[in-house]
Amino acid sequence: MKQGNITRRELLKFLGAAGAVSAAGSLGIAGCSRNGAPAGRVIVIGGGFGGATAAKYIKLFNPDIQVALIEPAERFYTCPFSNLYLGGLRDMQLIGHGYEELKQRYQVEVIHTLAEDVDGSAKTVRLADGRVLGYDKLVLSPGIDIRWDALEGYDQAAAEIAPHAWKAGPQTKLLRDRLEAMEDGGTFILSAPANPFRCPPGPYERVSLIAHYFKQHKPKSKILLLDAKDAFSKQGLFMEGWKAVYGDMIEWVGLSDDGRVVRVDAQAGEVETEFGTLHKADAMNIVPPQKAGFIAVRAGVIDTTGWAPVKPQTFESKMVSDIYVVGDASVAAPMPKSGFCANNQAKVVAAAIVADLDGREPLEARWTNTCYSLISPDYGISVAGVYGVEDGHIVETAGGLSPLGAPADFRQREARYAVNWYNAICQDTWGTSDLPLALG
Amino acid sequence: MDRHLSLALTLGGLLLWGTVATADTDEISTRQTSLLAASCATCHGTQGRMSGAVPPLAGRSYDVLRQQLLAFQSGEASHATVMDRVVANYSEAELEAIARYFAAIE
Repeated sequence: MKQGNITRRELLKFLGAAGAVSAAGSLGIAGCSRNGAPAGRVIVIGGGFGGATAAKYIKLFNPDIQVALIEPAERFYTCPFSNLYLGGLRDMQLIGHGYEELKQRYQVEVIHTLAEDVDGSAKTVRLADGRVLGYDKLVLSPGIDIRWDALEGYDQAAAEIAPHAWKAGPQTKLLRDRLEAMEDGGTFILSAPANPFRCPPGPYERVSLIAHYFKQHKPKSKILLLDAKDAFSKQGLFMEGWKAVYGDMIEWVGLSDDGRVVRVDAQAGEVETEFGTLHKADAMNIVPPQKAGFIAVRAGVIDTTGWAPVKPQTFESKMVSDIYVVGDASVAAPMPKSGFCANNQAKVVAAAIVADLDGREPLEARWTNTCYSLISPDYGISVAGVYGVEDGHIVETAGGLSPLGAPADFRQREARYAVNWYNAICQDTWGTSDLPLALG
Repeated sequence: MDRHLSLALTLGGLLLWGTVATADTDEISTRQTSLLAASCATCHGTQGRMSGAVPPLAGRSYDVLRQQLLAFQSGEASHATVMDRVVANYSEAELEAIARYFAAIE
C-alpha cells in the first residue's frame, strides 16, 4: 500500500473535524483522544443485537460522541441459536454475551440497570436506580414484550408451566427441562402466532431441532405445530427438510385447518383451537402474540399496532423526534424482525445520528438480512434480503430463498455458514471472539 | 487504489468519515462506502476480520475481491450459496467501492 507521501494536513482534511486519530490499536479507537467537549450525548436502551451494535458503531463512526448503554443484564442470551440449545446441540453459556468490548475497546458507558421512563420533551431517561440522564439522541432497542392479554389462559403464571421461550434465558431452560422430562412416544405442541412477530422462521427451526433431539432420544414422539397463519417463512424448504430428515414426526396445521390456538390450559397440558378442537400435549411451547418492549410505550413511540413506526431513511421515530427505534420493536416491513436486521438497522441509525450531530444529511440507507435455519446439524436453509428506500418506503431490492431440492453438500455448507454467521454477528455486536466452529 | 482511503484505513481504521470520493465516476463517498461495508460485517465480522468457513475480507487484494463480487453477481461463482442473492442489485461502482474498502484494511 502506498502511504509514503501523504501529509498530516491531508490526513486531517480527509478525516474531518472528528479525526483526532492515533495509530494505536488495530481499530485506532483505544488511543483516541477526546479534545474538549463531546460531539454529542447518545443513550442506547437495550443491549441486544440492535442496541449493542448501535452503541459500537456510533463510537466507530465518531469516537468523540459520548455513548451510554442501558441494559439490566450483564450477559445477554440470544434467541438465535437458542434452538440449538433446545435440540441438545449447544450449551446455554455459548449463547450468552457480555459487554467487555463495548466498555474496554469502545469506551461505551454500560449501565446495568433498567430504564424506567423516557421524557421525549425534556430529552431525559429515568433509570431504576433513580438517576435521570439527559441525551441529544436516544436509541431504543427494547425487543419484544409478550401480549399477556392476547391468548385466553396464557399469563405469566401459565408461562412458568408452558414456556414461551421467546426471550432467551430461564424460559429457554424451562422448555428444555420439559422436553427432557417427556416420555418417548409423547406429543409436543408448539403454538405459533400470526404475523408480525419476532423471528418469522423461529418456530419452524425450533420444531426441527426438537425433532432432532427426539429422533435421537425419543423416536416414537410426535410434534404438532399449531399455526395462526396459512403460510410461513421458508415454508417449502422447511417442509422438504422435515420430510427428508424426520419423516412424519412433524405435523403442521395451518389457520384454515383450525390451527389457531385461542385458549391455553397450562395445568391440564391442553390447548383449544378456533373451531373448538382440544389438543393434549405432554410438553408445550406457546409462542404468543407480541408487541414492542415496555420502554417504547413509555417513550410514546408506539402506535395502535403495538409497534413503533419509524422514518425509513433513518429509523427515527415518526412520533417523537430524536428518538430512534431499531430491531423487533420497529415497524420495518418488509424487513423481518430478526437479529440480523436489528444489527443492520443499528448501523444505519448510528450513521444517521453521527451525521445529524455533525450537521450533515443522512447517508443513503441500505440493509441486508441473511437468515439461516437449521433443520438438523448438517442441513441448513436460508433466506436473504437486501433492502433500500424508494418513494419513502422500505422495499426489498434483491434476495430470495436457497433452492429447493439442493444436494446434500449444499445443505451442509448452509449449516456450516449458519454457525459462522452466528459467530460473526456475535463478534460484530458484542465482540465475542471464542465461539466454536462446530455445532455441538 | 485511492491513496487517501488506503492510508486512513491503515492508520486509523476508523471507518473514515471523510468525504473523499472513490476513484469511480459515481463518486461513492467514503462515509457511504463505510456504511455499505458495515452490512458485510454481520457475516464476516467487524471490518471483515472474522475467519472460518465464511472467508475474511480484510486485507485481501482489491482485484480478487472485485472479481469475486462480480462473479457472484454474474452467476459465475459456482460455489455460491447466498452471496449471489445478496449482491444481485448492487451497482458495479458500489461493489468496487466495497472491494477497495476491505482491501485497504490491514
